[in-house]
Amino acid sequence: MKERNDTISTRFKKPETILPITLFLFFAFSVSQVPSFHPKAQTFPLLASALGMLLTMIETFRQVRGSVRYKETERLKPLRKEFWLILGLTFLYMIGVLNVGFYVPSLLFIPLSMWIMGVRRLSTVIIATAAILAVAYFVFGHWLSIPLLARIISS
Amino acid sequence: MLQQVLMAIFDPMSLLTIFGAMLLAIILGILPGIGPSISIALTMPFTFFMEPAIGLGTLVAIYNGAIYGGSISAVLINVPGTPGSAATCADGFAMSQKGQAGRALGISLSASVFGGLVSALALLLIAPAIARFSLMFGPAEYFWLATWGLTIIAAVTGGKHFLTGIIASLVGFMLSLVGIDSVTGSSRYTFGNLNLYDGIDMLAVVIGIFAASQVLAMANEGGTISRVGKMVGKVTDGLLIPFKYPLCLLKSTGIGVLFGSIPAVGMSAASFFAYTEAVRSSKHPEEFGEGADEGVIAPEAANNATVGGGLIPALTLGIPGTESTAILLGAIFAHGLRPGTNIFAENAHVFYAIVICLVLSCFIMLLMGTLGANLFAKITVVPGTLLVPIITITYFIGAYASGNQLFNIVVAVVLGIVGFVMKRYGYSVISLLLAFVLAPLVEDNFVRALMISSGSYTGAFFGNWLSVSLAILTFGSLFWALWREFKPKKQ
Repeated sequence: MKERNDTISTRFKKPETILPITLFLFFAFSVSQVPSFHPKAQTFPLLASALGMLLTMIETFRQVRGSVRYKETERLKPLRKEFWLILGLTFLYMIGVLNVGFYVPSLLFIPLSMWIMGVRRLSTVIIATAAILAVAYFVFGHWLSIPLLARIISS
Repeated sequence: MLQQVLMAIFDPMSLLTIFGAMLLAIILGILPGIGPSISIALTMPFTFFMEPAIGLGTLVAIYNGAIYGGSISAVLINVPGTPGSAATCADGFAMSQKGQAGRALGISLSASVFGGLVSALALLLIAPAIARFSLMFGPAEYFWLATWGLTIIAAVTGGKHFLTGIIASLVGFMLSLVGIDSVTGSSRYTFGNLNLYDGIDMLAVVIGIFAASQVLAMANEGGTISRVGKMVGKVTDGLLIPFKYPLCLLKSTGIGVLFGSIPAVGMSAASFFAYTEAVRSSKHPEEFGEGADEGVIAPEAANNATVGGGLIPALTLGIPGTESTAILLGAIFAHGLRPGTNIFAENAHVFYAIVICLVLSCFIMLLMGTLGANLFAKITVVPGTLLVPIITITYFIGAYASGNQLFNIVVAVVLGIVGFVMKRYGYSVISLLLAFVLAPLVEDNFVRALMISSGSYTGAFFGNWLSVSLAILTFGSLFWALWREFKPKKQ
């Protein structure tokens, strides 16, 4: 009994179970917003999110019981530290672009991301950074002259 | 007259112009966020100095080339250059990961050329008939067509992934509901944020789901795109592959022509629909997503077939079939021409020039693709240390360029995380995207059909033979999918 409970408890903590629970909460939140919509605009959001809640509940139950396993999850390796660093850096880069512009954050993002991915030669970092920024400027900013990019490449 | 048109098009200067335009179009198509619409808009002013027949023919060639360009980045780096190339990412990129990028590019090139050629033939021979058929599509018919597309999601997500596929499609459905409802004008899930009033931009979603998630996957796995560390095969290996699947090729091309000719359906819906139909009818559906040839053939044939398909209602009725043909219509008016039945009577030479340029662009595309693809494919052996920043910068610019909104970058980054998690744990991102594309068609036309029929469901959705036929197809598809999943398994 204790062994069985431990197994169920372990399954609850696995990402394969947490994901449908998270999606259940997403759909539940969506349902909660429906009353604030125009009456004629409620049908499809209500149907879709109610169905989503039902199906995610079923999927959570299946995962907790251990009655289904996907081949994608059977050969999963833990996430590397490079993944988390690149994820965090991408967020910071996004905030930088939104607030400062394109060039300055890119000037920091490119070498830092290469460093995280394992490049240690300074010349490679400098050349790659310069080349990427030059191509981005000349292709998008200068050649295409698309006005919508003017803000993104001004810093 | 035909002779004069041919002499004008095959004039050395005209040929050089079309060649240059095709090269530019393919490059522009590779860049995410640019796509055929912007490519046509950018080059349109240059065509005003040309004779209308040549100018418009050049724009059609650009349209065709830009669509193919979108598939190059989709196959090589999992970044669709256009929304219509998103379905190609699933299997095209999987082939690149096996080191078969050249072969994948060859398959997509050949399928694209075939789709473009057949759509040119359809434009030439049966344009009036298709135009009359497309006019029969009202809100009820759009509703059933889009719902049929949603039921095919079940085909994509068969077996153990049936439930997670439906869940993923519901996520896509919910994402499509964000913004102002087009029928009632009320806002949904906007939370007072002005950026969400127009809804979530499709290209930002596509870029996030594929490109941004791919960057995270590369950061986690390291190495090169090609998991074998080298390239196996060349583009010429893939050129004849589509002809080994004649039914898939013809069906997908037909879907592209048909969807392109129906206004407001679009290239994305056509390519996704063709992809899911290929999955449904394949003898080996389990191979899709792992590098199945049909997974590249179907969307590529369909999306290039929308070129000729979209031109059918545009030239014969003055109604654009796709977003890009709407811009082409603007060019037609700017050249002083009027589409409609008069175009055959008064400006037949323009019509023939457009068809000939579409055919010519397919052959130019074949030549350029064959010569350039092996070079492009080398990107699959570039280390991830370089690709992570390159793809990140590319998708940031692409997401911004698609809607001129910085908020699209936020969408792309967030959906990148969503896409990474979903793929990692077996949820189908193709289902999410298909639902995202089709859901607005389902809801808007459902409401419109009811309004037209004053609330009568039978009158709205079963009012004529076309809507009844589409309804039968929809229910048949749904029951078949449910039966396949829940039928008693043999011991």
